[in-house]
Amino acid sequence: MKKRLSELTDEEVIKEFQDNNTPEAYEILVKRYKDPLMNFVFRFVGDRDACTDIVQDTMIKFYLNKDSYKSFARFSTWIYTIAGNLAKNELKRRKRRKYVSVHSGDDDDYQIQIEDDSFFAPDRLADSSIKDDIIQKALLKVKSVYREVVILRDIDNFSYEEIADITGLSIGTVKSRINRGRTQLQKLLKTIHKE
Amino acid sequence: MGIFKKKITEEYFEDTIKLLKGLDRVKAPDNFEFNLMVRINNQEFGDLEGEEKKLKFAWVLPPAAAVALTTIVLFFMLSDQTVEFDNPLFAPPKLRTEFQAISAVPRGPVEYNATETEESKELGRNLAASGDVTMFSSPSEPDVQLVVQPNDVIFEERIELPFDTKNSVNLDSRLQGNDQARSSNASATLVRGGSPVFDFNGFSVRERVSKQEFEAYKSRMDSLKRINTQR
Repeated sequence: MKKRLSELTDEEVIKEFQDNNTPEAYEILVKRYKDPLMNFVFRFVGDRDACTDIVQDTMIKFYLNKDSYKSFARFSTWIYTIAGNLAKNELKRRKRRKYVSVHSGDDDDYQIQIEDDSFFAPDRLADSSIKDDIIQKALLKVKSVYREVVILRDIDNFSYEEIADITGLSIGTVKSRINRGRTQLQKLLKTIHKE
Repeated sequence: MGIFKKKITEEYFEDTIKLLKGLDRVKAPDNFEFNLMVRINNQEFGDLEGEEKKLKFAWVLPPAAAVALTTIVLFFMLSDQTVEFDNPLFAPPKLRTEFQAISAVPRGPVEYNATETEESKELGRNLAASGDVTMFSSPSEPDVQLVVQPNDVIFEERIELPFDTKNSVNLDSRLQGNDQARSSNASATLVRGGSPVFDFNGFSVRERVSKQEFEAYKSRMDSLKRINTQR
């Protein structure tokens, strides 16, 4: 039974979970999506601990609201929508906290770290972990509305239509936001491009 | 053109896209599933379940508020309209037969025990005994009136006009063009001037007022006069 479930598509597995409340079906979907969602949320929020909590909450929301999923939508877009909304809520919470905080100079320091060529010597840029770190920090500098669609398109390889479904935007808006996000990112990543 | 533009755009960002695609994939911690199942088994949903309840409640609020507001607005609008209905200018006109029915119903004398005489008492008794007859003029037959008896039996009664038919003109028939042959002399008589003998008796109101009805009105007027004089 378990083997057969694992061979089914996402939509078939969630149907099984909805109809029979099969715990195995839920576990299969958690296994399939925990890593992609972790990657997406981490690139979007930039905090590993917060990202684990968000993905856990996403899975619990999925568990609690399994019946709100309708079969005409793709399961992947549905669960990414939940994760994206939770991630946005987390960012909003942080923004509020930031306004309250007395210290507001962190952001400027952060910009210098990314854009200052002398901060990372070219030989050090070869190190992939540092490269990843720079790209991640540059991503976090991009406006969140652009960042979300750029991650979905260029990291998670979703189509424009799927991104439109996830974000609830029109395809035209998705395309323009992706281009704007990429433009911002390109400016921020000049150092790595030169290398 | 659009495809060409898209290709240029994709090529323009090629390096950035390559960098993003080359990023290491972040994976969930090993205990992710274990922790998740523990949370589910212990029903530790935190604010998530409460959020759902809040959302469900919030979903009910706007329609409920809208319904309440609409009810209040409609209540005030309708109450204003009822005031307008009292305005006689907006009231629908009454039928002629209604007026006739009202005028034909005999009204008893106004009760005023302090000054009630034997005469008025007797008149009231007579009215109570025989005044339940209601009369209507028939719209189809001009010289016929409908009489409604107390036992709801309706019959037609011919009206005897107190005029000499040779010298009088039936205006209704005349206006309808039914009586042209014989009324030519009469109309000539009617408009003739300079004659010392003027045989025009006036116009007759078709509605016949019975004596009892007249007495009823008279006693009613007397009662009202008495009340006014005592004040």
